[in-house]
Amino acid sequence: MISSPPSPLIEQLRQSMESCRARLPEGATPPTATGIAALDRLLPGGGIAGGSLLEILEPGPACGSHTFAAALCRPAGHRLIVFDRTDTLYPPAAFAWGWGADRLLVIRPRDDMEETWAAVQALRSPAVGAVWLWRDRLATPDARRLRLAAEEGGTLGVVFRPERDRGQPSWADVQFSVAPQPGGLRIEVTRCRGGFSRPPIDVSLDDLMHTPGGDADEAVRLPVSPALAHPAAARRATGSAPGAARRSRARRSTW
Amino acid sequence: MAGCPLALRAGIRPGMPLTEATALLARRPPSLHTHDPAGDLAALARLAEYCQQFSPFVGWQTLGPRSIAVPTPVPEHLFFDLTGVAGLFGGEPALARAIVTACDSLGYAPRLAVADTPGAAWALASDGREVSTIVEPGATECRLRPLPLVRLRLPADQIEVLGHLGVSTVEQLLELSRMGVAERFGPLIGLRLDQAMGEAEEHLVAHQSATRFESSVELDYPAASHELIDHFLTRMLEQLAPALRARCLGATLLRGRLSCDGGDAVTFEVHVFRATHETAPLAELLRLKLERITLLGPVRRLYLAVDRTAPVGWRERDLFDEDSRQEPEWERLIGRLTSRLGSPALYGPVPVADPIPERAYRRAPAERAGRARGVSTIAIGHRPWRLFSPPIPIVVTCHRTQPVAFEWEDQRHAVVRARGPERIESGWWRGESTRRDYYRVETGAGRRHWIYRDLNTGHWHLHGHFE
Repeated sequence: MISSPPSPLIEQLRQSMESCRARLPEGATPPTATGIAALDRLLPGGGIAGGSLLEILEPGPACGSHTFAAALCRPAGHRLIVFDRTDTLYPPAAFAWGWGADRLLVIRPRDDMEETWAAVQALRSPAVGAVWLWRDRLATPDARRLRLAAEEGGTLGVVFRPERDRGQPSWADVQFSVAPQPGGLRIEVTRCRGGFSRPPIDVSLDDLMHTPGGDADEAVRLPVSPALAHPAAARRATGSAPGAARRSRARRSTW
Repeated sequence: MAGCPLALRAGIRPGMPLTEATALLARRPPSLHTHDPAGDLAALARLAEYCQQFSPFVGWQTLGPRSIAVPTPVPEHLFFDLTGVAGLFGGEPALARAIVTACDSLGYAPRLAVADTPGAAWALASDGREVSTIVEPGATECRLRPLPLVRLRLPADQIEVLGHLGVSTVEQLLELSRMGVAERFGPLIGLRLDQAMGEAEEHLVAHQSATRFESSVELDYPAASHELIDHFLTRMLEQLAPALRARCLGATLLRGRLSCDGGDAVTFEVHVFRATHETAPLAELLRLKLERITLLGPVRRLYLAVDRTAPVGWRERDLFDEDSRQEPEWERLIGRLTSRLGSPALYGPVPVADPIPERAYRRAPAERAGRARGVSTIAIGHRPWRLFSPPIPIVVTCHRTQPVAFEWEDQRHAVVRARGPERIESGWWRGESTRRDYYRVETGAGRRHWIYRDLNTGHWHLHGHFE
C-alpha cells in the first residue's frame, strides 16, 4: 500500500461534509479553529463556534484542564470571566495567556443559584468572550439556561465537570474529557452535537501553549492586539487561513 | 481675632496677636477657636435656607456691571428681596421684627436694615446702631450722608488713602468731583455710591439650597406584589430623572424605604457602578435589589432618594475601537453583578511587580480593575492555575538537589520530570526574608504541580497545581 499525503481538495471536502453533519444553522457564526490541528480535526466544522457551551470532564486536580480551556478560549479572547468558588484561582497564570487586568474578572458566588444567575448574565453579555465555571452537579434547567445564554451573547461557555459525570445528560455543544499524559494531555471528544466518536488524541503541552521554540523560557511573547483578540477578528485571522494553524512545530517538551 | 463681649471688655481687640490676647486673659483661660471660613459660609447658607420663609430671594451675593471688577466682601450678611413681601407680614416693621425673632431663636444677634437698595441696606445694617433700621422710600441719601466710608463696601486701602485726604464720610465723598475720584481711584467708588443711592443696578443672587432628589408615594391600597412595587419605583425614578438630567448629574447611590402596613419599614441601598440618570438601567438595578428583599407586609408608602450623585461625563471614543463600543455593555454587566452579588464577590486581578508568587497580583474592585494597568512578564505555563494559601507542607525525596518523589495526602508520587530550581527571593528591604527554590514537577501520571523548598527552613511545600 502506498500512502500519499491527503490532497487539499479532499481535506476541504471532508471539512464541508462535517459542517453539514453538524447541522449548523444558516447564518450561525462559523467555527473558529483552535489552532491545534489534531484537535480541530476532531471537531465538527473544524473548530469551535462562537456561542457554544462546552463541557470539560476532568479527572481530579492538576490534570491540565485549565490549560486546555485557555487554549480553546484564546481565539475567543477578549474578556474572560472565571467563577471561583474555592478561591484558589491564581490569576497570573491567566495574565500569561493574555487576559490582563482589564480582561479578566473573577467572581466568587456563594451558592449554585447565584452562580447560575451570574453565569447567565455574563454569557448573555456581548462584552464577554468566555466564561468558566465548575459544577459537580448540573441540573438540566440550569444547563439549558446556560446554553441559551451562550447562544444569545455569542459567548463561549466552559463548564468543568468531574470525570464521573461522563454519560450524564448534557446540554453542551461539545463535551471533552481530558486526562493527564506525560508531557501533554489526552483529549477525547465524548459528546458532540452532530459529530461522531473518534479515538482520543494526545496533544503535547507545547502545542496547547503555542510555544514555538519548545521551551517557554526562550519563547518571545508578542502582545496580542485587542482587535485580534476579539472573536470576529480572530475568526477572520484564523478561519480564512486554516493552513496557518497547521504549521509544524518543534516538539521539544516544556517539561 | 474676634471675641465675646466679655473678652472685648477685658481689652481684646481685633488684629491683636494671640499671645498678647491670652496674656490679657491670664486670670480666666479663654477657649480658642481657629477661624473656619468654610464653616462660617455653610452656617450662613443654612441661615439663608431658614430665612427663605420670609422672602423667596435670600442670598449674600450681588451682581453688578461686568465691566468693573468688584471685590467680594467676606460674606457676613444676607440680602432679602422684600419686593411685594412686606404686606404678607403686616408691613415692614412687623417683618423686620419677625426676622430678628427668628434669628434670635437660632442664637444669632442680627442687625437689620430695610432700604431702597442693597447697598444702602448693607451700609445701615453694618453701621448697626439699632437692631433694625427702616428707611422710608426716597430717604436713602440723607440717611447715608453721615455714614463713614467703610459702609460703602470699599476696599480698605482706598478708604485709608481717602482718610489721608480728609475724606471720611459719604457726605465728604459726595462733595468731591466724580471725574477726579474716578481718575485717582478707579471706577469702584463711583459704582458703590451709585449702587447705594439706587442709580446703578445691583441684583441679588438667591442662595440655592442643595437639592435633594427624592420622591415618595403613599398608596391608597397597600401593594403586596413585587411587580407592583417595582412599577411604582420605576415611576418614581422617572420623576427624579429630569431633575438629575437638568443638572447633568447621575445617580451613584440610591436609597429607598418601603413602609409596610404593620408599621415596619424595609430599607435598601443600591450602588450604581457608573453614574447615570437613565431610568432603564436604574430600574433594572432596583428590580434586582427588590428580588432579594423580603417584605414584612403589604407596602403602604414608598420612598426613594438619590443619595449620591456624580457628574455624568462624556467620553471620547475611538472610531474603530471595539473595546470602547463594548464598554457600556461591560459596565452594565458589572453593575448588575455587583448589585446582586455584592461588591466583595467580584474582583479584577491586577499584576503587581513582586517576585513572591502570593504578591504577584492584587485584587481590585471590579469597577476599577479595568482602569488599573499592571504588566505581567510571566511566560505561559510558568505559573500554576491554582495556588494554595497557605502552601501545603509535603515530604520530598531528593536525589542531590532534584526532587524525585513527594508524599501528599498520604500518597507517594514519583516525579518523572522536574524543571527548576527557579529561585525566588524577596528584597532584603522587606524585612522578613523569603527564599524559595521552586520546581515544576510532573508525576508518573502526568499531573503537574508546583513545589518549593524553603531555603530558610529546608522544608518542602506544595504551592499549586498546573491545571
